[in-house]
Amino acid sequence: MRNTPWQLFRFGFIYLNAIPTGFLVSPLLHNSAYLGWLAILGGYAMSLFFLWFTVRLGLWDPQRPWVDFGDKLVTKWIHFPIVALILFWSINYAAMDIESFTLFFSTNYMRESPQWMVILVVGFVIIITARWGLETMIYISDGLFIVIVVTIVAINVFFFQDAHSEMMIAFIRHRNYDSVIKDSLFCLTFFAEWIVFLFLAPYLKFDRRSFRNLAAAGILVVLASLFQWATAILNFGPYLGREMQYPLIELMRSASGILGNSDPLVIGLWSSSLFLHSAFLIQVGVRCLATLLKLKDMDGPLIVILGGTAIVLAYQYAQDPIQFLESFNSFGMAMFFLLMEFIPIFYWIAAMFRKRKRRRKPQPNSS
Amino acid sequence: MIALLFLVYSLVEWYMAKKKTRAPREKWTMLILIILLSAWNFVAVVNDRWITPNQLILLLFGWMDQF
Repeated sequence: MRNTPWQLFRFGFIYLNAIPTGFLVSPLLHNSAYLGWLAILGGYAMSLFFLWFTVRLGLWDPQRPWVDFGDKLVTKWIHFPIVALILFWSINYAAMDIESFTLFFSTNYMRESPQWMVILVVGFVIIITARWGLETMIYISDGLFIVIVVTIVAINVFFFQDAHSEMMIAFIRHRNYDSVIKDSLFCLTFFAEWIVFLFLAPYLKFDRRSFRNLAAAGILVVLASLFQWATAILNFGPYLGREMQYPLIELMRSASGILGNSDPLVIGLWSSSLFLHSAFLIQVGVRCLATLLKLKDMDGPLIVILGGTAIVLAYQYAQDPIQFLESFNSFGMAMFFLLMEFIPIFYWIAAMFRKRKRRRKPQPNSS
Repeated sequence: MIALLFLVYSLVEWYMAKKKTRAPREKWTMLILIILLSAWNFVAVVNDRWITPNQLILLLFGWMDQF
């Protein structure tokens, strides 16, 4: 594979940007309201702590994905259950992506179409994207990056003109810090999905610049989220804004001028990054299952059956959308995601002990 | 119907992959996995009360929602 500088940054941005763009603004308007900016920044600051451990763990053996060398650090008895947990998390997360997108698309555009049909179409796109392989997905993210950044900037500049900027004083006057702490943890779970990047080796290897690249990708995601949140709150206010599931879409659909009714273009770009997000999660699940069952040449059927399982899970969630949204935005779910993000720290601690053991070994020869 | 669709699709993929691999263990492991996951998916589609991962997660972590 041909590597170029900042490739990890671009892939990181496309992967991390997909979910906050679509689903972070509404919960922030609901809880933190005017202090959403503090929750976003707090969540990002905490995510850097997790990133440092992830990069250190990736540097332990940059040539191989973590799933292959993890058992050298913590033994197979501990490593395999953790890999199984990541498999469970990744497939469920892909299913939640599919159902979230289906809910969004069905409520805004294809109201008469049955949900299972939208789920099936979206699911097939994700499976085909995953089937192309990690290498192709990294190249796709290279191409998508600049288009998505330009679109985000254009939209926010355009909608900021009509915003009620006099409300900005409330950003520093409000004092509901309890909600901010809880929302910071919620944002943290969106920004700190660093563990998936440990699966990119050998296509993208970790080196001393990886922390910089991924942290920069995180900053760009934070800026995009901040602008989207500010655009929504300054146009609708916290009370009307929290009544809307997708405030930015409402803005785009009601706008006139250059970007009036630009929602199909923007949604096309956002959905491509969301599909890449889900396809990468399926790839992560495939790597985990292939390691657990020691399968080397079965990537094709694994992608299809795991993708199919994610689609069936999305179909199950579609039976009760209210319960699904409650679970998606619940604190318990956020804590489960946070648990996954602690995994690199656990392995890093084990790696510290391994290093000490390896250093002690040469000593007997000196006698 | 969705479960059956992916059973057929994954069996086609398995048939193509089994020509490339020489290890019989891989072929059979994959086939058993396809059958087991398809059975799970089939029950999940047919039975509305079949457990979902989100329910399992909230069973373990749902108590944190009170904070």
